[in-house]
Formats: sequence, structure tokens, C-alpha cells
Amino acid sequence: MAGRRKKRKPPIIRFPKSIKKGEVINVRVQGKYPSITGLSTIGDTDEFMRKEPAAYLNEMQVTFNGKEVCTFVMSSAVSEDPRIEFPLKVEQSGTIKVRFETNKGEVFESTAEIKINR
Amino acid sequence: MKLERRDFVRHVSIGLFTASMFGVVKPELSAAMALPDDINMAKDPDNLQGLEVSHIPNLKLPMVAEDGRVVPIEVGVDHPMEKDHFIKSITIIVLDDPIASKGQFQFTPLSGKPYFKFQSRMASGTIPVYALVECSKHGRWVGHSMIRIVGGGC
Repeated sequence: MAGRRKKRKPPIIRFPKSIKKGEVINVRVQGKYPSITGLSTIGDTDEFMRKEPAAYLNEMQVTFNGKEVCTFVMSSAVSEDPRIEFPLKVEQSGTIKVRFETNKGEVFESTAEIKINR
Repeated sequence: MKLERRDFVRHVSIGLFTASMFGVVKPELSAAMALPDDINMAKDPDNLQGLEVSHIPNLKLPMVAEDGRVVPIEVGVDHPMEKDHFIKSITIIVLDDPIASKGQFQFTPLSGKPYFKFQSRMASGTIPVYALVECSKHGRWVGHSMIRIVGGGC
């Protein structure tokens, strides 16, 4: 599994279509990146050893209209292609940006427009 | 299964040593785990009182996870998110795992509520999963939930 190149793409951002001012919405982000811990069990034991370099999403940073909303500091324990859900209080329409950084320094970003419409 | 503070302290010692061997403990998290005395636990998790109500996390896990590569974790705290009083972070820790830290979610008042959901890898076994909460005013609090992982995912 470690030798096969898995797809790596910018995150997909989803949120409710109907939003009112002051509402706390749940934003769902779909990451597209492998999760390689690099660990392997030693024989038939329950002990682990590092067999290869790890590759995983290391951090997710979320901003809204340029202001920090939240940061998710991950480890190699995050699942492959994680679906992450988090809240955002919407006081005005604007741009949400989700930035993923991997443990290798790769960066994947996406933005979306959030509009107050009710 | 009810865990006492002494169990948590013992798990911290074992888990910190294990995690440090694999170099997976970030400094800020290892500092938290090295000081268990300033972490508050519920006296009776089934009957929260006072500050416990708004600080002990509600950790939602399946009772059994067949695939340890994608264990769903959902956690929230019934706490306001005001400018000067909010939940700063929630950290998910499985001290018996080779990768003890599952992640730390850092909030701001713009979050609106302290909540998040994601999927994590866990090794096989029946284990406690801890959620460590940090409040900007009332310090650190911890809650836990048990889970059985059938097929290990680490």
C-alpha cells in the first residue's frame, strides 16, 4: 500500500445552502490525502516499529474573511481521506478558506463563498 | 467502565513513554500529559455538577469499530464561545496506542460552539479514548469513553 501513489487533491468544502445571520453552521470538509503511519508490528507481538516514513495531513487551518476560525493539528493517526466537520458562526457573508498542510510541507487549499440568505 | 484518577495517571505515564519512543508526541501535548494534577475529572460522570456540566466533554464513539483505520470520533462541550471565555482546544488521546495523540482541535470564538468530528486510526483492543478540554478561564478538563477496536488500524 505504501508504494502505490494515492490521489492527493485540495479539500472539498460543504455547508448548508440556507443560512441566517448569527447562525452556527456545521461545515464539512473532505480531505483527499493518504494516511501512512509508517509503523509495522514486530512479528506476532503487539509492539510496533517504524518501518517507513510517515505521510499524512498534519494541519488544517480555517479562516473566514481572513480571520482565523479554527485549526486542527493532526497526527499520523488521522484516517486516509478524512471527513472533518466543525462549526462556524456566520455573522456576515464572506469567504471561507480551508488550508491543509502535510507532514512533508505540501499545501492544499480551497475556498468557498458563504452567503446569508434568510 | 468507570476510570479513576489513579488509572488516568498510570495511563499517562505509560502512554507518554510509549508515545515519546515513536517521536509522535508534540511538545505542547506532552506538557499537558506530564501534568495530570491540574486536569479536572468529573467526580461522577453520570451526575455532572457545577462547572463539570459545561466543561466535561461529550465524546461520542461507536461501542465497537470493525475497522481501526477509520474510527469515527465526535466530541462537543456544552460551553459558550464568548470573546473572553471560550473553549480553546479539545485534544483526543488514546494512551494505549502507538500513536497516542489523535489530534488537537483549536477553536476561536468565531467557531460558535466547541464541537468537531473526524476519523482516526486506532490499534485493536478495548481501550479508553480521552478528550482533553482546555477552557480559557477554567483550565483543563478530561472525559473518556470506551471503545472496542476489532481490526487494528495503526
